[in-house]
Amino acid sequence: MIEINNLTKVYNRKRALDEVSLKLPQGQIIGLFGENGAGKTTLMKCILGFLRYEGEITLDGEPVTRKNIARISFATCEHSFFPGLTAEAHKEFYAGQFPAFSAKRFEGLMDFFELPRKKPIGSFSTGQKNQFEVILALCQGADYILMDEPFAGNDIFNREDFYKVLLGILEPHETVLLSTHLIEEVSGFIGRAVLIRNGRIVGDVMVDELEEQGRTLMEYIKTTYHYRPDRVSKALNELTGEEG
Amino acid sequence: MRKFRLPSLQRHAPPGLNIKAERNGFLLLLGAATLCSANFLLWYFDEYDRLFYNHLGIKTLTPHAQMPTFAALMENSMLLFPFLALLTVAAAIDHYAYHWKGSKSIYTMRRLPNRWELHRRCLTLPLIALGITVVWALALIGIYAAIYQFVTPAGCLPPDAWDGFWRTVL
Repeated sequence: MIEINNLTKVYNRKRALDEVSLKLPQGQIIGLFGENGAGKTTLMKCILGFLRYEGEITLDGEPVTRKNIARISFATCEHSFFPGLTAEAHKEFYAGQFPAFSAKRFEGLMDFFELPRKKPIGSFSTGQKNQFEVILALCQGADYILMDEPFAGNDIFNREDFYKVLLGILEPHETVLLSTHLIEEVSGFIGRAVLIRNGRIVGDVMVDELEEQGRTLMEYIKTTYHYRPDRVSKALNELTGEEG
Repeated sequence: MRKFRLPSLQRHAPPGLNIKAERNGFLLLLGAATLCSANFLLWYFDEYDRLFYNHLGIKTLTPHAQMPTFAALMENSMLLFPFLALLTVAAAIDHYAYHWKGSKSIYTMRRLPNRWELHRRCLTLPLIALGITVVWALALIGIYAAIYQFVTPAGCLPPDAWDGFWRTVL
């Protein structure tokens, strides 16, 4: 389990994360939702040790260090592959660096998405780059797969395919923390939703519980964010000068 | 008979970096620096010829003729080597910067179980290039010094022949 206790990250006196506490047990698919700048990416980067922070992050009770970092993988919309390297060369590199790398899963996913193996990844389309980024994260052999807006730029068909494949291939011990704005799209695929706003966790709910209550994830998120449905019509009225 | 193959440098470089272009660039500059250093030979043999005069078709040593100091003959000959050494430092910086180009592959490198992998891949080749540059420059200085010492006729070496030698080396 990844356990985050009182995590605070300050950028230029602004609290990007403010006393965040969260538990990520094995075997869950967790959606991480929040507006731009809410702290989603910062949270992931803190877990991976890319940023200095106050508070505590542990993986099965141990701090995240080079000893256990291979148990966490990361797919990001910024992309973390090597643009000059081919898919085959990535496979070799990952297999050499990550002892639990799954070549079988890699081959299967490469075949499924029909990605070229001998072309540098830099020459791929944006959609293909995103797919490859996620493939690497899924094949590293990690127990915790962090995905930060991994489908930005992918069309709906690509994304749907990916959700299905993901559900099909994940082992019971694998956890996915998926940061995305595509709430409705992933609502049928995640088991838990964590909401972050202004660096604070403002909601944490199991999707099953919502279903039992007869609520949708979108309704829950709107309620938690105090979304005002009349906001758009008010703004339009002000802009056009019409009375409501 | 087994064909000799040079060891691959790629696994000592940032993944996906075009190492051939870098290697060729380095070899080209090393060649240019070597050619530039050969300027010493031109100066040396020019001065060497001046030690003699022609007497009835026979080259005869001019009495009391002396060669300039080694340092004077080496003036600017090794100029490109410090430049080449600086370029290897720039290459190391570029290797780190490479992980921010076209993607953020730095994220992958920073979460490898082997904490030294990033530095190994960024520094190994520049350090090797720096080593080659230094050793080759010293070897050339050694060869030129040997020529100066042993080809110059006895008695033509000035008393301060080696003054400023370390200035040349350093």
